[in-house]
Amino acid sequence: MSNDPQSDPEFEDDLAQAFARAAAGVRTEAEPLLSGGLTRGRARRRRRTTAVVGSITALALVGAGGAFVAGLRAPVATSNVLSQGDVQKSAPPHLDKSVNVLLIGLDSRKDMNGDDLPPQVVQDELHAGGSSDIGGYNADTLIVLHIPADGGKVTALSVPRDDYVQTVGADGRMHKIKEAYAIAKEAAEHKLAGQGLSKAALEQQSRDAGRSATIQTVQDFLDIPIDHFAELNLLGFYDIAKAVGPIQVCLNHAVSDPIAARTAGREGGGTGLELPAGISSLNASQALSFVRQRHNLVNGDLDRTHRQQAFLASVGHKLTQDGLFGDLGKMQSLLGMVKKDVVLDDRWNLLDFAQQAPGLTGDNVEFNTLPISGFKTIDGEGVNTVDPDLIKKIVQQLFTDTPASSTPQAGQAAALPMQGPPVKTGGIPCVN
Amino acid sequence: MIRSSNAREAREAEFLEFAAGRQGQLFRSAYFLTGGDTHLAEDLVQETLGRMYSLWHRMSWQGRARRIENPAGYAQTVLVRSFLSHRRRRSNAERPTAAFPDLAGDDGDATLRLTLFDALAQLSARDRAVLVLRYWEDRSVEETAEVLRSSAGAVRTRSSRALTRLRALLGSSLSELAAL
Repeated sequence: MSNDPQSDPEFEDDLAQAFARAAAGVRTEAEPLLSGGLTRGRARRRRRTTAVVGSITALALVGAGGAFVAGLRAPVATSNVLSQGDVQKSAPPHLDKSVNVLLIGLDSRKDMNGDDLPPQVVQDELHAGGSSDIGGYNADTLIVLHIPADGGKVTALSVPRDDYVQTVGADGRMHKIKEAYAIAKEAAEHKLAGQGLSKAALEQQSRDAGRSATIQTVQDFLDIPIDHFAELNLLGFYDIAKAVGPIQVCLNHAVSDPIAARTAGREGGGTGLELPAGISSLNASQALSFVRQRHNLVNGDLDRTHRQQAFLASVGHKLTQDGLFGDLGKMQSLLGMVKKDVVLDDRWNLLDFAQQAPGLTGDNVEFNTLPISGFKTIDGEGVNTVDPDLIKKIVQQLFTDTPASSTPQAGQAAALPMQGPPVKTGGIPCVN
Repeated sequence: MIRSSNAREAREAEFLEFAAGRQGQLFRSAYFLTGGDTHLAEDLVQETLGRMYSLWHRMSWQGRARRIENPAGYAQTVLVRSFLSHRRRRSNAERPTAAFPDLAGDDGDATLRLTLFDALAQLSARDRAVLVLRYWEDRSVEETAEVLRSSAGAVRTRSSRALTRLRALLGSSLSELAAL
């Protein structure tokens, strides 16, 4: 205590006691304090670090490089959502021993174009990590990898994120397919709140509900069972693009996507991407813009889907060229970058998978995009209308594993009404 | 359910646990610092948690060297510094202490609280900070000086003056109320 001549130890004691008693009755509500703190923390962190924006497509690295994960047995986050009753019960039966893998690219923003939301919201929602206070978990990239039982050609099928479909496991209503995740997650969060779960556990469990709904909705829409899934979070893309090094891509036309500032009367937009026609070499941030851009494109969002496919094909090609698939050391260092951003289902034995799917590592994948019927505005939002029966028929034909010898028409997919031409691996495919 | 969390999610979870564990204590300190302004107190706690979040991730990125020894204590420090810099930025009048949080306790405690806040609110922000650190958080003069980026001598002087002022404001009411 103070040696001050005027000190009054008794008053000091009384004051300490008064503080204690005054504090005793103060109960706080943790939620607003925590969410407010996280909001500011993320905004702060975002300012500090490179603004990472964009869609998550590099998750397909997990697919494109599915095999390389296998030998390494690195600890990767897993989820048991596929073993839960809902997903299994609603899964259509397998017609053969093929395997379907759903790649979920999660972008926590409600809108793909970050500029049209207030910066703080964008910054918050950008962060796909473990928090439950943020809504709008969109599955902006949905790619089904179909791996035939005989080790034949792997087919990758993109589902446009704005396809307006019947959701399953969410609220039972029609929505854009990308929204099933967030709707189910939010509902689960409400249900689980007040059960005394830790914040992290609440987040994990409610995200599992999002995964479950996304998987069920895809199963229902395409009428195929999903055997495995991989989810990549948003921030992973940049890391991966950086780890892989400069990626060559090819554009059909020169592109200019200037950044438009957001004003009161107008949405912002643009990625700042400026590239000539032909082949360009992209660094990580350009790569991000490449897969993000949806403005100043002939087919907008649908071209973006093709961009993502082309990017993945280019990455696969580069990894093959670099001899990654034969080099354990290289695989390990790349995996180190990937694994922290990815969640896999816990039934996935990657060792078996790698042997089962040699086609994944080679230049042997064809990306297709499910066709849409048209555009419509529902509740003020632009959606893709689809014909569910047609989709099911197409998927069935595309995924029916015909031995190479049985039918003369090799290019099955080409005969099917897909959205735009297929994007093939084994080189650097050119896209819009 | 996710069994093994990846590194980023683990850090995130770690932070959430930390924040959930500290928010109550931070709020109580903020409540006293602000002289009972719950809105400002809430604002300060959020600001503090935001800063901690940013530090949390930074220290994880840069390895153990940056790891904060005592995050709970450091958060309290951040809170007090945020409060004082907030005061500097907006040296405006006190906000009314109209809204009290959900307060439990009997009438004696309520009266005590009102009396205490009435008096605290009449001190300067820095005086309040010294008293809160010394008599609520039970920090030593040296620790208090570190938090305030001041010297031990200055803290002693300020502490003594603030106590004298407070005693004058409260008279004997504090000991009477505390005895209830």
